[in-house]
Amino acid sequence: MKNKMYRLTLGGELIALPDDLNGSYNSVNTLLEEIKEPSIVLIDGLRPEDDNILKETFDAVYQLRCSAVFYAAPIYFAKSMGNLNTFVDGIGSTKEDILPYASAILSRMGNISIEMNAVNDDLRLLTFLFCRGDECSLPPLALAASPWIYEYPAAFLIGGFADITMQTAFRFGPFAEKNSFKVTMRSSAEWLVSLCTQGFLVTMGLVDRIRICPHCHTGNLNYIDSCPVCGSIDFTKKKMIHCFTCGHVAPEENFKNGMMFICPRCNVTLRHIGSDYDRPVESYVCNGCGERFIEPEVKADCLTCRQKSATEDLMIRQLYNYGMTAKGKRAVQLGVIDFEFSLFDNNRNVLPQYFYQVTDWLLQMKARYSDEDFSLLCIKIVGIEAIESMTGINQFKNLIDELATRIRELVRLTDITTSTGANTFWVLLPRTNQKGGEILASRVEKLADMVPLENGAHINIQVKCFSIPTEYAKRGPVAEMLLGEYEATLLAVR
Amino acid sequence: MNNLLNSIVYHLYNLTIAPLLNADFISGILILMPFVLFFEIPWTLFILIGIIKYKIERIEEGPRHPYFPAVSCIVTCYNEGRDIEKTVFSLTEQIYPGMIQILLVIDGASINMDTMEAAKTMESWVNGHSNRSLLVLPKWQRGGVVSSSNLALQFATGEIIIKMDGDTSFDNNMVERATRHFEDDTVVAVSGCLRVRNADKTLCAAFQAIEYFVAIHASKTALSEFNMVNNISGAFGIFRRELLDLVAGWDAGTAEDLDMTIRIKNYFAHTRKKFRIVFDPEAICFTDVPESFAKFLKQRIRWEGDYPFILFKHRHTISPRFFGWANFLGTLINIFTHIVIPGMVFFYTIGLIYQYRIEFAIALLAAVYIFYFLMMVVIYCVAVLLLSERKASDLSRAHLLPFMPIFLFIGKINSFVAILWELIGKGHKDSTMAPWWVLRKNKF
Repeated sequence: MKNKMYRLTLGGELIALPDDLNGSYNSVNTLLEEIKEPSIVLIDGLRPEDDNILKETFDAVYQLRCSAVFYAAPIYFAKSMGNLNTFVDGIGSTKEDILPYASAILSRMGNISIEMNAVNDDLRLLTFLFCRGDECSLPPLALAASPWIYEYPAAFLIGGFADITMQTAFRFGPFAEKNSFKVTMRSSAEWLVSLCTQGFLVTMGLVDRIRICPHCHTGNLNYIDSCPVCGSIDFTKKKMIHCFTCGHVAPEENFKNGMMFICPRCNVTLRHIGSDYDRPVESYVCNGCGERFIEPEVKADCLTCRQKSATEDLMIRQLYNYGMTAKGKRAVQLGVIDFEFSLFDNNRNVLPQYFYQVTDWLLQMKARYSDEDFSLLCIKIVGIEAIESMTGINQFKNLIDELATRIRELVRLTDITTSTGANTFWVLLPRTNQKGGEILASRVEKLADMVPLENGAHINIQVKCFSIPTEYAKRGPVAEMLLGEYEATLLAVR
Repeated sequence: MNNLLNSIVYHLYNLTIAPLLNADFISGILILMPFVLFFEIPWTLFILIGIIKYKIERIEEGPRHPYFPAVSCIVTCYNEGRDIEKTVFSLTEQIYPGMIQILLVIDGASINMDTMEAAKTMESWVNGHSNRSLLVLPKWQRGGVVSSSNLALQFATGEIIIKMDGDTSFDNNMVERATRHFEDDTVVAVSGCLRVRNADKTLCAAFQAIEYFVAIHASKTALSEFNMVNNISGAFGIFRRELLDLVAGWDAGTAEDLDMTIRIKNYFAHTRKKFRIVFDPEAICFTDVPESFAKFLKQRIRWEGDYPFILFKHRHTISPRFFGWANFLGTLINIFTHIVIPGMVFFYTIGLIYQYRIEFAIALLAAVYIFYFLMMVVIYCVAVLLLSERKASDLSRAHLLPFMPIFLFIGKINSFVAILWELIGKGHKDSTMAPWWVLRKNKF
């Protein structure tokens, strides 16, 4: 029999038929020790109403997905376990229920090297997706317990994020370091974004959009209104009255006299809104510093790192369904994942040819209209291979992802980017003069210092700002040639 | 010309001063409009006594009890547009610690989208206040003011219901003033005091402001003292919720306010329970009146025309047995002022010109004018002194008092035309208060 099915039994009532099974195990560890070939795992003896069984069930699925043999194998529940159902391939207690889909997964697993792909988290996730066919995508799931709000169930298990979620309760909190570079603490969503940027996954429809803390990238935010001067959240609304007779403006309580409003200055009884008095403005008084203000400032207080951010500074996370690309399939089939470092996501990153065209066009504009200016930023990351060999591929990738995120934050939506060679990136800054470009350049350069590396190593980012003189405009398309020259000068500096 | 003037003065002297000086004043009285002495003088005295009685009681009233029942304000809107903001604004602004629910019923909301929009934009603003709530009830198909009120009644949660038109606004103590009367169990309704918001806009509006002040502010205060309030205005009436449930809401048709008042009176006369309808001169509502004379006369034709229609509808119940004597008398006075006086004025004037020489007729009318003017001045001064909460504003219109008898005279003639129109042409079916397809179905 080709498709083997093993049962993992928990404490509850068993409903699977023994004839269908090739073996039965009471613990995950024994199963993992004895079975070295990918097969179907049916988790039986379930009791959804029992909290202990729920936890055991999740732990079992988690261990299987973290293992080298079962990370992509079909896993089934014998009966529905409520919210946990999203973590397995399906529900079924007989072979008839399970086999049609499970055998398809197993046969795809047969065509690739499960063992080779198990060495790398990226490959494991891609393999999982590959084995489930072209129709399958990775959907985001709102998980209230996660500080990142949304998780991708498969990635959550395969990438070991369940552990990270547990750890955050201890690692973050009020003791979190200010602005610390949390390389290891990333969510499954960030992981998939980076796989997508590298071209292994493709977005297949937007599911939701959330705001996240710019400091720690988690989503448990409390939007709180506070005094714009001292930041205190303790303030009171004060209604104001404006007396038409004498023009006196004061808080309502100064006017209130029993069940009437009497102006404290001119002693007139204010009877009718609109003809005797009006409300000039609703204002607030801070109980901390006594400041009067019209509009309280709304801040997003991150419940994970306790940093307060202005709402406009919050980062936006788009949550997509992800599917497989041809490049991803090739990586799974070959068991090799080429790591390409790309700074910018596909939306803003254009082909070099197009980039040159836009640059030439802007140069023409600049020559014709004196108030039109633009500048170019060249970013080169030097010595990247050395660091990769020093830190190991996984940590290195996290590091580069983090760096890319930081650079992306500095780049405006109107800026256009391209990549002309290995580790060389160009940013076109419209309506920015040389001076503005240089300020940005210095900021990007400083980012290198923010990346902590062991062994005293240092990541080297070379940034230079260029402005094309208008006399080149007469010569026709010059951008390609000039950009090459500029890039060469950057190398010379080194 | 000189001769004519001399002649007028001569007759005027004979008609006014001479009868008082000579023993032969009986003949003077007989010529002077007979109803003047038999009706207007006792009526004026009655009002003065009522105002003074009210003032004494008001001074002795003592402090306000902490009784603040929940209030629902039913605002019936049609095409007022952004004017309803004034109404909602002034209701939200009430200095009242109790709950105030504002129900905006928009009749024919599908064609009155600007009113609908204005109402919707205020919803969150009102609901942001503690103890204030705004509910917009759009009636997509137009159905008239009665269906609006009855619909809103289904959503009203307050113990006290205030019914008002969409173009009104209120003094900020209106709810507090009005609700205090309901602490007395026998009070079933409070009639509010209507004042003119646009009094300073035109001469016609200023005349109406004086008229409202004398006919509503002063007269109804006095009537209330003797429990003879004859109408709870449809533009501004305050009811106990229980009572509206007892009489099953408003009745279809025009002049639903007068109809409601009569039905309340009938109900209590029938059950022989003690009840009171109070007029409170301190619960003040401002409303816009027609600014041109043409519009004013047209409005009055509509109002006065409705009066005989309601009396006809209730013809079987208008008797001391159903009404009680005081109320029956009040209703008779009402019939007298609304139907008999306009008729008398009309025929008297025609008869006068037909019967007598022109200078005698003019002299006689001048005598009547002086008489009405003096009575007007007395009531106006007493009311400003004892009742008005805006003395300066009321006195600023005092120079118009000499023209008031003429204004009222024209009004009475106009009323008579309205009643004729009602009797001949069934004018109440012509009302703008409800569409024709609703009025057609009414029994009367």
